Amino acid sequence: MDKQLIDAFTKATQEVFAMMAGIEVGENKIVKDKQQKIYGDVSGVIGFTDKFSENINGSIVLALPLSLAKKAVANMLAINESELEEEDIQDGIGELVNMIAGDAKSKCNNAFKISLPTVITGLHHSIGKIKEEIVIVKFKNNEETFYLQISLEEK
Amino acid sequence: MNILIVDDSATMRKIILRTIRQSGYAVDDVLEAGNGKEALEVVKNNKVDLILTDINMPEMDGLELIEVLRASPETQNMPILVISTEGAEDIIEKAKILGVKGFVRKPFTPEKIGEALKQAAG
Repeated sequence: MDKQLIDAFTKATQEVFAMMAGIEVGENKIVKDKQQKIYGDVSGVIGFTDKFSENINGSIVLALPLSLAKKAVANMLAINESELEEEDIQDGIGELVNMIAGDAKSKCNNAFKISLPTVITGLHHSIGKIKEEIVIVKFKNNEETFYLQISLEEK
Repeated sequence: MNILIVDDSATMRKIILRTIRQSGYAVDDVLEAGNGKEALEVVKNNKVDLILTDINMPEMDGLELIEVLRASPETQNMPILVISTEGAEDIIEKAKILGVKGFVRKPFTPEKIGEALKQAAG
């Protein structure tokens, strides 16, 4: 997978978390073990397509533990986590993944179009790997780990 | 000053409102809409002084909304700011041609929103 694309999504994730949720994501590394399964409690999904040829289809999945999803959305809204409703978490994570994809798109000179986001919730759900090319970036905030899975498929 | 915030994310509408208040901008009434179609209804039934709209939304997107507003004598000069993840030059150019007062990219800082509001007011 193109390094520029991976870097764009990685940087966009760090910048959006810092700017919109006040969460510094210090560490990130690419998970090289293709067998590793990743899990999340709240996952934001967004698709992207090559703007010019439409020959490339892709998606990103931002898979978060519930505790971090709550912290991020509460910070975005400047409220206590105890005040959050389930819809707030879903909507907030959808907007977070939307901003990550939009920011990554700008970093790649707007070479692709993005879809509207979808959010999946369910404790410890696994993220499938159905595309040809997959890169998983593992992030850490303090002791919490979360993942960004980038999938690509060429027609 | 009555403002209308148009975004399909309720979270983002709340963030934008909080950011406007932080920037010290005096707001009397805040109206909300989840897409362009809803926004047109709000504009029809309320006094709106400034619209802040996203671009990528279901049903009717921000550019279509702006086009419809510009085509009507009652709303053709309404000040509009775009706040969006959209950074494609062709879309920004189209928004400028339609006379938007400013374009703020998400993610944003409160300062960026403050500057855009000043520009819109000027």
